[in-house]
Amino acid sequence: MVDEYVVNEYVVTELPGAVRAYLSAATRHLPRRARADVSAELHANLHQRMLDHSLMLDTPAAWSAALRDFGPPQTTARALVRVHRWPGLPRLRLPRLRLTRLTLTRLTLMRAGLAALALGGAGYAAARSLGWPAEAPQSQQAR
Amino acid sequence: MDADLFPNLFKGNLDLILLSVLEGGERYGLEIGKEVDARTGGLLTLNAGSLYPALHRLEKSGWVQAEERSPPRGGPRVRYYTLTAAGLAELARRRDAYVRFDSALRALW
Repeated sequence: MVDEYVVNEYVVTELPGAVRAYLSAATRHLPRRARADVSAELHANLHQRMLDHSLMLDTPAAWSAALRDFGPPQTTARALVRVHRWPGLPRLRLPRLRLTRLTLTRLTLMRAGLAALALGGAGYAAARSLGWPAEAPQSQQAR
Repeated sequence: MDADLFPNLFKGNLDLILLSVLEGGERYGLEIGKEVDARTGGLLTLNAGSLYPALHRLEKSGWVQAEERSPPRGGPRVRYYTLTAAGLAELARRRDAYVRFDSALRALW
């Protein structure tokens, strides 16, 4: 794929789609300004890595090798977000859940139950704030 | 052997690794990675997911500063990282802490 754009005054005339996909995925969740800066840095370093490999490989293969060296973009994206979007936030390791249909049904029912509980609570609070008498406890009703 | 065998040690000392390399002078990201790989005989390797976020974190901490320049081989401008005075002090502090910890641990062997 032939593309043309400017990064730091350097005219890029042929950037493979895989490289653009990598840059997009690696910087996906960053704020706009940081995204542009980080993307430019990753691209520039990828280019240098591609030049290393181009001593032994043709250009498309050299780009592919450079991308392999850089590792999965999702890993980079997660680490970059922690620095640029949520600095100081401790790293959370959440367990990977394998959600079966039954688990999903249970989760949905729990969510519906919680929503009903919240609505009921809100209704009760609204009723009390309007001065409506709350139902007396059974012990008081017996007297 | 690689850093996968001791991930916690590697992650816990990533800043020390980067500051140590930058003590030798300015480098851009890829150069830092290559130097770590070469000087540790491939025992420590840095991929993009650990290298660039760590460099940005060090920059936000004021321990390194970056400047964009064209690399010798041409291509898009890269960010050269340099150790600041605060970074040099942090390197000394971390190096001292590491040596003292290592010494204490060895006393138990």
